[in-house]
Amino acid sequence: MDLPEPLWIILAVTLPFLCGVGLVVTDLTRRGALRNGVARGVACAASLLTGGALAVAVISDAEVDVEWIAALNVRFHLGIDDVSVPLVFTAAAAVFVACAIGRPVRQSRFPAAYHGLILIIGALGLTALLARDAVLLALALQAVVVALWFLARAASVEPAPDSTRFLLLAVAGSTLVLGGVLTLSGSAGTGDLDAWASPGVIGTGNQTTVAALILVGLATLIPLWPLHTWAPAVHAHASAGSSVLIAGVLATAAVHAVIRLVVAPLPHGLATVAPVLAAAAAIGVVWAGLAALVERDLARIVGWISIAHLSLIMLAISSGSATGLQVAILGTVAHAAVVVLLVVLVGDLREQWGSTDLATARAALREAAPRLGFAFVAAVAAATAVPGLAGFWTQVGSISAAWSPGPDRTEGWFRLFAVLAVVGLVVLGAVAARLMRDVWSGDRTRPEVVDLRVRGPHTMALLVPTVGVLLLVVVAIGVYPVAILDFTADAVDAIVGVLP
Amino acid sequence: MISASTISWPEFPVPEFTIPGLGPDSPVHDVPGEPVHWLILLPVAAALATIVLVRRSSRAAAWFNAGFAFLAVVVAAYLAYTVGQSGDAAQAGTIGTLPFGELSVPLELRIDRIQALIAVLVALIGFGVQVFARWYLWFDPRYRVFASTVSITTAGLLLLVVSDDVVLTLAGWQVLSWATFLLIGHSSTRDAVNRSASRTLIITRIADAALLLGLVALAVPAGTTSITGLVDFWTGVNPMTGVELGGGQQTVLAAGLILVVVGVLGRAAQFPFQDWLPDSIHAPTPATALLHSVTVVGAAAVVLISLLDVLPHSTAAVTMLAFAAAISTVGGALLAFVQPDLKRALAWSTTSQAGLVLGALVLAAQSADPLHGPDGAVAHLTAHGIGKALLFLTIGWLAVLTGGTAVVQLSGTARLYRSVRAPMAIGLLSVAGVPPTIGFLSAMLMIGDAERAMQPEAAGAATVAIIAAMGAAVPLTAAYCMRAWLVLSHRTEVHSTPGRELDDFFEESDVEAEAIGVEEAESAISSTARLVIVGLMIAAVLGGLLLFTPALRTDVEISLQLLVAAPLIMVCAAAAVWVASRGVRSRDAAARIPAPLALACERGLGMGRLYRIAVATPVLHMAHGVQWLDREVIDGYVRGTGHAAHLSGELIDRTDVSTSGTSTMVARINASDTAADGQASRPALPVGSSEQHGTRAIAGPADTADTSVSVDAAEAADPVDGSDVDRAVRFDIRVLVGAVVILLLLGVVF
Repeated sequence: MDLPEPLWIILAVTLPFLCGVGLVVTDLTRRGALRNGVARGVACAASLLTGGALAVAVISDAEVDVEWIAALNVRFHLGIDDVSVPLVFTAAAAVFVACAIGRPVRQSRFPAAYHGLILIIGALGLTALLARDAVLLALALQAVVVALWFLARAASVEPAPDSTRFLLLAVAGSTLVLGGVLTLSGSAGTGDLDAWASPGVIGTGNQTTVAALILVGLATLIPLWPLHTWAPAVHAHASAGSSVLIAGVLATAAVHAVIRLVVAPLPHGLATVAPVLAAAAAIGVVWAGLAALVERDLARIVGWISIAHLSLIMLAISSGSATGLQVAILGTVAHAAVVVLLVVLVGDLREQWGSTDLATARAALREAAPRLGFAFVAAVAAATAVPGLAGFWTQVGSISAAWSPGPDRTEGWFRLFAVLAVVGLVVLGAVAARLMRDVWSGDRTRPEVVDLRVRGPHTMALLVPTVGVLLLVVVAIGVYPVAILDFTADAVDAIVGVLP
Repeated sequence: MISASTISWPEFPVPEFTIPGLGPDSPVHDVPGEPVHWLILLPVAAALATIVLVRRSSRAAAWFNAGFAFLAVVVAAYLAYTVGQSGDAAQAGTIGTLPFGELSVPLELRIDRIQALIAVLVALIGFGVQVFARWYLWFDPRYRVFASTVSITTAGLLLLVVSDDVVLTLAGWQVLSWATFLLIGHSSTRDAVNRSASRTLIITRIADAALLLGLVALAVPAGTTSITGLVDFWTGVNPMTGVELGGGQQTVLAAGLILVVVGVLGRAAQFPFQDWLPDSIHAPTPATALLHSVTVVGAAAVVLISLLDVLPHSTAAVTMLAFAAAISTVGGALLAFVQPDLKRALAWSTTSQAGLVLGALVLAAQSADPLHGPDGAVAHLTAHGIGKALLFLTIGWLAVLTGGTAVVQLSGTARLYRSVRAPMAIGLLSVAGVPPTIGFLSAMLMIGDAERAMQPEAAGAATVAIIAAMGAAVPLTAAYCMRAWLVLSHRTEVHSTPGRELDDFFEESDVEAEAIGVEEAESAISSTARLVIVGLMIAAVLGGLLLFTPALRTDVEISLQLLVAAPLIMVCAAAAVWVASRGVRSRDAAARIPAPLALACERGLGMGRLYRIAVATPVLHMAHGVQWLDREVIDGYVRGTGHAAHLSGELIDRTDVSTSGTSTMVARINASDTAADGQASRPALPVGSSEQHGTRAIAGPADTADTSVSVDAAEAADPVDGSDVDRAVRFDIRVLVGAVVILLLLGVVF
């Protein structure tokens, strides 16, 4: 190819954005012009092309850097480094999955706008992941939140969804992030993340305040206890596609932002607030486990599981060691894979059951739909950190990281948090036992559930290949995590090495 | 430490031939990978092949699983041979070092003499179970899943056995938890099965968590997850060699070891975690055979063996292990005697025997003599594995013949079905430790260990407890074995009444038909499954020959008194049981025990109830508490903010001159909603309202305004009313504006 290198990285962001905007505009101006299948096809193709463009951009190490808002010294600066590669591809894959599973037939109003919105969110999320400028990152994150809120609300499975708390918390959170970032870039005179990461650019003065500000903001997006209440609620009412984007794009971008905006530039600030952050994370694991134990709604349980995993990841990050950071990156990819798989399966069950209420008597999945049951068992096993599946490494790694935290951290406290997190893991095991009993085993075979491979009117589009590929990914990460860890090792060492 | 060298496949002189297109320089190589890899990969491959390739055919699944299991036996035997020959441990890497930052995670495998022996045992029993399962689950539509789960269990166990890395140990260990859950819950349509399966999962997850934390606590300060490395670290700085452990490190070591011990106790179904094991008899017979023979005891023993050099450094951990093992040994044997279900009795016997193995390990750990490894424990593990597999498979066969495993159903059946007599007898003799079975020899080895442990002045409370439990186990084990044998083998009334010899024609034909039925029933077992039982029988009898191979070090000195006394005690106990059984119709000596006590014993002395009261109920209460806090307190603040946003949004909306009629109506609705509470300060939500109530309360204005009007609903209600959409959008924008106002306020505060 004799195309200029920056083109690929621009393409990776603009292609889904333009396609998305095109789809939305077409749908809103000429209703019914695009049928559901066509819209889905276009969206899938666009997300695949995005992935391809990203791959080329990674190989060619593309970078683009143009001036954007001169007054604030904000540049439109995109680039890829080793830390962002796994996360960028995770987000791109999540966008593809969100497009591929499509929308159930009976909710097919504005199909093109729905798929267009997914693409736009994907483009914004990729921007947040690729951004090398802090303000650009924060703005993209905020845009993702607002777009996700539109999607979650417009494509809700409930007639009157209660999504206000999502909007409030997430917008508030991303605004705090923006405030923190603007403060920093004002004092440092540049928003360049690479410059921020090098020692001496950010003074040690008010690191603690800014780190706390940004972390509180990102904690709402991740989400972290006690700012998590929007997550189970949104997972319960949003369509499967929205949930996929929340787990695969928003959470990924938020964890990435923690690394970029806090861990790298503000090591002292992070060290000061780390005990609080770790405490929130450890409590979050137990809290999510206990809440899921008595939760009646399967979709909300998925939300809780996601919170538990992300809390483990934040526990690892707050430990401040290279181990923790490695685990956090691997764990974010694993979290996306596992939760997206769960969301897809639960979304399909919701279509078939009519709701996700576990108190209603359902057919035992193992009897009525053995293949779907198998996938469900694998997903739940992965969610409870069974070895050989993706979740295992998050569990082992974050506990190890918390057991011996980095410099400037109180060992005793972190060990206490490790114990708490382990208790949470036990509770998650109990949640798995409960899910198996409520959903998988039993002797009921009615009401009928359509198995994978059998196309029914209510099954999602491309469900079987999606589930198959996701299962493969979950197993691949579980068996061979070295692939991802090797990729990020040097960059992580560089980030942590900044610590004095 | 034993120095390790890499052992690979021998260089067979493979004739080199060229593959067209590859050129002459690419020879065909030997089998890739190390034998240790194949040991683990073969069962995994069997499971994968079954899941991916086999559609319906149970036959294909059986070929894959049993065939690969057989290959695993071959590899294990080869490894045992080479390791025995070289005398060194073999080492191999796996997926490469995990770049885990400061922590070195080499993920290596290591197999020495002891581990090779255990690997052979595991592979053999895994193979036997696969072959037997093919017959036992012949008509089971889920045979494929079962066979692959057994393969996964075997693989997890083998990984655990040969692991030299904490992470791999954890991986194997946790695979076992989940696989055990799936095996026990195989017949998932039955409620009792599901109950016991989920209980198993929860208890083993507790054990998992304890082991995870314990191993992390041991590995992280050492900076490496290599077991060899961490053992070197902790023993290298011990007081004996001069370097003092810091006080903090001593605490960490003790805590880590105690947690490891807790994990081991949970896995080995020792007191106080024993409750899940008796319930696991709901699993299909081949699964219970695997579980009770090697999974439960073997996994626990392997972890302790790998940490044997570190274990004595924490007296607390050793004492805890010793007392739990002693209690389980005696208690398990006592409960095994009383059970009215023989399969359940065997399960309790597993708890008891596992206690013996762990006890022997404590003795081995405490003997400071580096020459004495855990040979006694491993010999007993082998004896127990073979004996228990034999007994469980035979009792499963009997259950097929008789329809159950309760004493009432099995009474006298060993006399009726002659083929099960020999396996039952040999299995029970081996468990009881009667010469010349392998059980006897392992018991002798353990007694040798005990004798040696009695010698030094350092015999602490732990040693005393273990030796006392071992002493008590000798007659108790003999008693429950004798009781089971008497129940199985006594003459039933039908055959023993002398008057029946002169029966008339019809009754004779009845007897004849019954005899034919018995023969047919007995012959229904497939020859391969019968072969497994015969093989296990032979192993139980001739297994003692292991003592004369380099696999076990047998330089123990056993005093003649003990050698004579132990069988004498057994005979006395057996005689007592025989006397007690006289006069009971089913010859069940346990029938002499008062009914309430027997019932309590059957229920595991109320431990299940205790768990429910002490653990399950509080946890559930806590979970409900968390839900309530989450809904009413944490989310309450969020919703409160939502109200504030609404209000400020409304204020802005009112000042809007161009407010349309509909909008004022909305405002009025909202106002009426809020009027009662007063505009300025809307109070927090009523505490204690249900979730739906709460949700409605905050989303009240939203819902009233756009019950039928939200964007989505508006689309649904074709034709779309433009003003409705407008209203919905306007509402959303109001929320947005409100949010921004609050944020600005927050910004000012900051």
